[in-house]
Amino acid sequence: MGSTFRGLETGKSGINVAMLNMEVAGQNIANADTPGYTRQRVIQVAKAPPGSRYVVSQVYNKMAGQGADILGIQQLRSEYLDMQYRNLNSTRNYYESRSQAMDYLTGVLNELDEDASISNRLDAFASAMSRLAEEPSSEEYRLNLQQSGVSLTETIGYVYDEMVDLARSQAENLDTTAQAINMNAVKIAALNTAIASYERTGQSANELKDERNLLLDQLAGLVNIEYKVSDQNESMVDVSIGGVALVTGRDANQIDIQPAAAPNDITGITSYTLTLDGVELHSKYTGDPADANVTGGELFSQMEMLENATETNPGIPYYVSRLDDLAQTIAKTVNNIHAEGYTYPDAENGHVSQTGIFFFEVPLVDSTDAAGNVILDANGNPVKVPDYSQVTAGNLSLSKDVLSSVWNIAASDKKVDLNAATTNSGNAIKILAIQHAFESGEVYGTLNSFVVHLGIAANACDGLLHTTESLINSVDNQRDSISSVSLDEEATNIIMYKQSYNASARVISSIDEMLDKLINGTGRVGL
Amino acid sequence: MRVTNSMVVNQFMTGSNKTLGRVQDAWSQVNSSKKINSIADDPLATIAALKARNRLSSLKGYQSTITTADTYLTEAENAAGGVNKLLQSAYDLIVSANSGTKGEDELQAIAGDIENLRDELLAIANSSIGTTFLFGGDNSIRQPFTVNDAGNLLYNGINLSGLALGDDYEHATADILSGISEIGTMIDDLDVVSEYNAQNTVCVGIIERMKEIDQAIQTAYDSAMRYSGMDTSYNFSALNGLEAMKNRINDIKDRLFNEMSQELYYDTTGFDSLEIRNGFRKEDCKAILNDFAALTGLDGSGTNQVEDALTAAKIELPADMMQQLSEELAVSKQLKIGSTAFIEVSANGLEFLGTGKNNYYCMLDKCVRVLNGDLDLSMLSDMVGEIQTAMSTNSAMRTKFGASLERIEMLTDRYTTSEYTYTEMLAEAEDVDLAEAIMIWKTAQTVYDGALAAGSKVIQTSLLDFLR
Repeated sequence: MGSTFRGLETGKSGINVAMLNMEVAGQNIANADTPGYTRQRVIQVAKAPPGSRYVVSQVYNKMAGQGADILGIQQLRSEYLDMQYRNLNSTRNYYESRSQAMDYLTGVLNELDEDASISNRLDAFASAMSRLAEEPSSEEYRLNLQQSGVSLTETIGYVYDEMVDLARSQAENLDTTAQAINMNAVKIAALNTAIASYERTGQSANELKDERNLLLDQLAGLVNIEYKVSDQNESMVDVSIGGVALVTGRDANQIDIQPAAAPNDITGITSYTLTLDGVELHSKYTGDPADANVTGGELFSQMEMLENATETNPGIPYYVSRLDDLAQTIAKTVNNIHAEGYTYPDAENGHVSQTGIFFFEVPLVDSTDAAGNVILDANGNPVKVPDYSQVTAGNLSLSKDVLSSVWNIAASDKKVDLNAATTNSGNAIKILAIQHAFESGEVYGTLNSFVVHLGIAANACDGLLHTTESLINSVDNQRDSISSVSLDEEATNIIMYKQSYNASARVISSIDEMLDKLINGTGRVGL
Repeated sequence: MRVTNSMVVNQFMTGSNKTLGRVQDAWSQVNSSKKINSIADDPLATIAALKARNRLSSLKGYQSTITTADTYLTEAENAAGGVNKLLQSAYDLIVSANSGTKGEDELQAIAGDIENLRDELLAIANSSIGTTFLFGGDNSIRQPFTVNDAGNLLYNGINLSGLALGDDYEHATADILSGISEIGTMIDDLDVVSEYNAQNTVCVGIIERMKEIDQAIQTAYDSAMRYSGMDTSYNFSALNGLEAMKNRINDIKDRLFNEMSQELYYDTTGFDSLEIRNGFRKEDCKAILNDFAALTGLDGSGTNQVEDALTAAKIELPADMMQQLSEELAVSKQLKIGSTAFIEVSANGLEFLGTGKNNYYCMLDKCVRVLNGDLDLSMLSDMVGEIQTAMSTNSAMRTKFGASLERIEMLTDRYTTSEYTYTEMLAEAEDVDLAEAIMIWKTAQTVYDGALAAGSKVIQTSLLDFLR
């Protein structure tokens, strides 16, 4: 025989469950558009009838249950999709960051621009030579050639400066990314602590877990991470980068950010050395590729941009060295022939027709034979030869001779002699030869292959970014399908909970009526 | 699959982003009328565009150079035409002077006319374009052709008059030496023929040759004499040897003439109209001729004193001037009018006016001197032939300029076609078909509008709208 008021208790439990369900639905609806929010669900079970350990009764199996009971509030989330999403986020952010840098590079080297491109300057330079060939003793044409030379070097220098600037900003980004990783690590460790203390007391920490999941998503975008439930406490998550611990339970390691020991030998930009837990974080481009621990995320893209000088997935050093190649080719092509020609004697250059003048500045070094011994001339002095490997896109400039006087442009293949008796004001054979070598040589080829390489690399990067984005969208969609709030569903549930609340209330009032009848209506026969 | 609101919203956002991206791409193509706006848009089209643009730019350069070349060549052709007219006038004048009907005054007048032509020739040879002399070789500072106070023609410092004299001297030397060897043959003939008349003819022939030799030595002497005034290093004393030789040959000639004249039936003033009736002593003639043989090495002694004297008095220009001459001869003004095509746009002054005795100026100068009586009038008939040669050389030069002009005209046509081809190539690589681009843009816009309209309907409704 059950208690008199048991039915009331059953009704109350129904009301409680309906109430909580309503609250959770309210929470779900309120957070329908909160980033990272995972929809929640009340886990409810039916309460068994009172235990038989008090009364052994033959009517035991005729007893109703004691209403509904709440076990807890559950988050609906797929760990597998989380992992998928985070891996993809690493890749996506890598391509996104790389694509931004490549966009910048293609913008700097916009050879399709008809006015400011390097090709345009090369054309102007060649055409200035052809003008000068028509009248080699004209000061105007010489000035024109000198100035188009200056403009060419400035344009190449501008592209170089922009590339170096990009490298500088990539180094700054690297610093920022490392700091963001540090901050995320601290936050995750703090959340680990908080979640553990909530769950230890049996409270739900669902909202905090959402926040942690969101941080993990973001962290995965910054750098490749691995994570697992902590060995110390299953409320906590351990995170590591390439096997190096970043977050262990309540503790967060911090990346030590120090300027690199030496600047990049191509771009001249000093990057940062990142040390985590005593281990250097490095990509496959610095140090041993076998133990490279940075392989994805923005951090990897920044390291790649800063360090990769190879042709696959090239970074800034590769393109700077291609630009250096162009500068060297230009300097060599022009200088080799120019040095054979003779300058025009004028008051500005002391009335001497000289040979061996370089058009573009190039440092001279001692020449050595195959055995590495310095070659000496007849006077015992070392023979000097131009070293074009020291010419870069950044330092390409006209030689001091040509800058100081346009008459030092060597157009003639014969010594110019303005002596009245044997006037020879020079011809244009050498300038024509330079023009010919310039137009038919490697200069344009070097530039074009460089431009195409950059174009293809940027194009491929954009394509991969799109692919990754559509993949990540589909994973995100699947995640949403499981975890995000459906307003229609919640609305339907609300109707259900409301009705079930009403019904429970009706149960209580019905029992009340019954008890009223029993208490106030019985024993009054005849009254 | 469970569908949630955020899924719908996300998908709508992604979709509308993509559609909007397409609208933007299409719009930027319409806006810039370019298919590719960055090298990453289409690397292959980029390279095609770069190559086409590159070619167009060089074409523009070549076309501009061709315009310059055209100016040069037209001017050069005109100059050559002027020279041609001038030589024609000189030719007519010399032919009329050579007719033998002109008196000294008339010859003087013709000399004056030719002198004018000569100076006009100089002006043509010094013609210039802008600051460049058309026929100045590598000299664009001073007039390439100048005449110094002594009346000598200089080209960039090279003494062309001296060269002409040297050439004359060399020709005279060759004439003298061949005359001597001819006389040698004739002396041998004298022994072969026994007929009196035949011997007579041979002797007359010998005298004839000696006269020619005498004249040639005179020419050589005159040339050397004139040259000695130009070159202080010239061995002036050698001229005495040459004069001595001339005198000795003259002496032998006179003796031979006298020997033969002894037998004359009657005397006349001129040798040409001699009529020999009586015999003469061959032995005496032989004796006189032996002197000649001894002088010229015909006796087998191996020493030809005439040749030695000629060699001693030889006109030799300074070695550095000869070096400069060979350099100047090699000068050619070329312009680049194609990726591998070069064109010579003018001739150097030496080609244009000729060198040595074939130099037009020196030729006319010589005519003037002949007509003025400085040189023997008999040289005039030679001059007629020389001027004729000069005229044909000049015509060849003119034809050369004409052919070059034709070549660049052809190239201009070809470049116009190439320009069209490359412009088309460029357009194909980077320009959009505007009609097509606008259509694509309109379509994209429509799709976007549709997506927005549908999306806005879908995302704003939920079950809640239908609950009371």
